[in-house]
Amino acid sequence: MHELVGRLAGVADVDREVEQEFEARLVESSTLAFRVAYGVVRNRQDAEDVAQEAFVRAHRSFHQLRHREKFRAWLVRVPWRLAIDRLRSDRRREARELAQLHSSPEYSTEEAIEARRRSAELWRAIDALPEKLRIVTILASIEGHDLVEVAALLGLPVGTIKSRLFLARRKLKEQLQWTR
Amino acid sequence: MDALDRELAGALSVSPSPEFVARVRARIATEPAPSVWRVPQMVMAAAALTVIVIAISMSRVDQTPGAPAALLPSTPIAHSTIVSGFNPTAASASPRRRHSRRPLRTNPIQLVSIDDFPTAPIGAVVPQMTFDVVTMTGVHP
Repeated sequence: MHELVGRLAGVADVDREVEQEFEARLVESSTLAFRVAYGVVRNRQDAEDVAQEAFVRAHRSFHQLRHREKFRAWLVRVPWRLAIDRLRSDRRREARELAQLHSSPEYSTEEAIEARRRSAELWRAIDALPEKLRIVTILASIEGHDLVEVAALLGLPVGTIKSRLFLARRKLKEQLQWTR
Repeated sequence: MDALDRELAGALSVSPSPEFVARVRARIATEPAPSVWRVPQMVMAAAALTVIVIAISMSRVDQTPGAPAALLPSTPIAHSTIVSGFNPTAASASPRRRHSRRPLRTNPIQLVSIDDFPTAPIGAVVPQMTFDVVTMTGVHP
């Protein structure tokens, strides 16, 4: 009986430790998950929804993750896939973005309208990239990510990331007039 | 950093709302407990069931001491005997044959009743065994 109680207490301790660790990972990775999702859906609310769903899924299987130090690398893929799925299924996205564009006061000046046009062009060009190049571009553009970090996040060699990034930039520059 | 890098960095310099982490925590709190709890619960349930089954079977044994022996009828041993089809060639098969992948052909079990020969000792029957059947001709009175 004492052994059973001891084992139960042990399980509860492990559970508490896992929860604490997950909490720490949630705080440190929330912006990353959000930005990865935003890089696909380009809408704050949708990106938060996607990132939230990613964390819920991560929480469900966090205790099964053998190498918890690789949590960020593991997490990146979840919002990426979820966001792509969401984007494909969300037929009203364009209408919503158009409504936001017309209702937003920050696009009232000519300069702001030009910025908006460039941003739309940029995202169109990013969307046209193959998926392999797109995720590298987005991760490398998120503040603070150098090639080594992107390679670690995607579990790929640095050389592969470098060549993919080079290809992606070349394709983007081909499409975007203002980068020349 | 060129114009493209600046534009890309600017496009992704967005942050979640301050309530985002709190919302995630609240959502996770409404989720069922992660499966780290489910496995011990299943193990505990299985263990409890096993203990109950053992306890019930033990209590039944305690209530009826010696019952199985008392219930057994006093049947003569030589009433009916099952003799399997003994094949001496199969028993003395060479090791090479044992290693072959083809399964050995087994003979169907032969049922031989020796009710009619209650006085025949088994030692008298065994030497008369042929390949598949037991012949009783040698022990007729």
